Amino acid sequence: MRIFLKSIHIALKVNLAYPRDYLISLVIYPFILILNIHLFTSIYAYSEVSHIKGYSLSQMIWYYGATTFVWIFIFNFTDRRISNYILTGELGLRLLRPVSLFQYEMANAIALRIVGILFEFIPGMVIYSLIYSPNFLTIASLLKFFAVVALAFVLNYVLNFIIGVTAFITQNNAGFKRLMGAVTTLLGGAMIPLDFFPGWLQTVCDYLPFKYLFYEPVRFFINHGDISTAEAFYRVIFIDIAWIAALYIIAKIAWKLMLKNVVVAGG
Amino acid sequence: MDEIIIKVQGLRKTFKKLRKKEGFLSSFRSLLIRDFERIHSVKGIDMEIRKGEIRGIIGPNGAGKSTTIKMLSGILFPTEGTVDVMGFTPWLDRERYVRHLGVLFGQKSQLWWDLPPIDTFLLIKEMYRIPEEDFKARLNRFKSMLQIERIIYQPVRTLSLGERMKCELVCAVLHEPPLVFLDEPTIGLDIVSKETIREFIKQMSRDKQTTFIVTTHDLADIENLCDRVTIINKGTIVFDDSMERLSSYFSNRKVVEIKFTQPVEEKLLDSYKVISSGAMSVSIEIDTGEFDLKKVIFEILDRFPVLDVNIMNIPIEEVIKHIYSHEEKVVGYGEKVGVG
Repeated sequence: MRIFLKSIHIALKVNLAYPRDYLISLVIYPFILILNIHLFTSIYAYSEVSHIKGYSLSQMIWYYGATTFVWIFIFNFTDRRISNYILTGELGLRLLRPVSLFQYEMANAIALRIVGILFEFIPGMVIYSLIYSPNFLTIASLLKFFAVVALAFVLNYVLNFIIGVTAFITQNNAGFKRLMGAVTTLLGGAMIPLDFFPGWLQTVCDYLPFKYLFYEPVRFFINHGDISTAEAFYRVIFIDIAWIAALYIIAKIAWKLMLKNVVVAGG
Repeated sequence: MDEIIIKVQGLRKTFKKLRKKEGFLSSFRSLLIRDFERIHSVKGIDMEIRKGEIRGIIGPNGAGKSTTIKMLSGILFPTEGTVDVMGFTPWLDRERYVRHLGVLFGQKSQLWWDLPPIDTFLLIKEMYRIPEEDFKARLNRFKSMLQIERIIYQPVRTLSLGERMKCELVCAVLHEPPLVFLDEPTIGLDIVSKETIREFIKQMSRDKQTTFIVTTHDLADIENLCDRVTIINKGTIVFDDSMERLSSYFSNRKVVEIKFTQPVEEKLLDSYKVISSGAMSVSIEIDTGEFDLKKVIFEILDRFPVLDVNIMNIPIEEVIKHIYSHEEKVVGYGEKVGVG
């Protein structure tokens, strides 16, 4: 555990070596939000309704802001880092340390997200709230969101780890990563809320892990009516944990199998 | 001193390599039909290394020495053979085994580029659970031995190559492992830094009985550092003996360097095997199996206006060049060697 904390500490220092980078991304947020305000205000006014598919105007406006925030919580590039280790031969060095790559990369991903939360989520949240008030937010909903998004982070990390391990076969997994990126954003609900999908596609999404990356955390963020019960909350938490456990086992098996055939590049 | 720390038997590694042909169309073809060829990188290696030994492993590029090292360090599964290092089978017990291992890759850094080396050291302290007092004591000792008191608090990117390499070395031995692999530890360094690093390695080996396995292309490393040297060529061991025996490898051939007081006509030297000659000097090689060294020297002293004579063994570079370019096994001393 101490080694885990120390790794986080070091990764934090590395990521904070160039802090100005993060502040630049803050400039973009207001533009996206203002665009959404105009778009959805006119859509809601035109349809003369207060809710579309259960979303109020402010929830809909915030939906895309919320996907950005979920991104900030769950993002990591473990997949790319692992394929880089394989391509550059640095994997050798990693394997020669008495810390598993899974743990090491997890510490790095957590550190990266702490920096993201400090420099992107908190200021972003302040900026958004000043422009358009998040009137749906309660303390309870926010706490539930944190719980769900923390699990989404772990889920995304395990998925990325598996994609990274596929680089053992393909050497370079850029194509596969792009495919996975498209699938996650689309079937995960980062592009459009899943409620707008046809019924059969929604059923497909129910059986895939991707909606637990974006769609569910976003719904908890905007405090959607469907998930306000305690039962709904526990259901999501339970499915999250089940997916994490299943994918973790797959990741471990894949890692063991691949390690047998690994060729560490370079002399 | 006689305790064996590494025992290798019949180690082999065969890679399956995709055969790629030239041309754009054949790239597409290879998506459908895959040609594999088998590359026998390591073809049956046996060796033993004793505790506290500094063992040099050399060989031409692509000879299979990195492959061997990777298998010994547990990051590559061999095709065949057994390795026993301190009771571990490296590739099977990797996670436990690496706790007892230190590594340095001269061409790859384990230091964090943007942070001072001390941060990496602190992480290593946690990784190997080094007690606080031990960590402090060791770091202080290493700091003064390698003269890195100040630089370990500066970001790695601002350090010179020599300073960085010293810190890499600290990373490899901070947890005082009984076995350390050093891959080209002096690559690209100046003569003073090289000397410091060699001294450090020797001291560790003396004080802590640390076993070092050093791969290098720098013969000075081998000459100044190693007790024993293993030469790997084309996947097999072609020489495995002490340093002295390597330097007296061609015991029946001597090089005689002669300086003259005045220029000597080249024609007069035709009867000797001249290796190189200058205006006032010449180097000749004498096969002592064929000629009597004493006789030849007397003859030369008699015939030419000699200022100085120097009798030497064949230089170690020549020995190694010879071993690299010949396939037959020449392990052991005193064996007849085909000189060609």
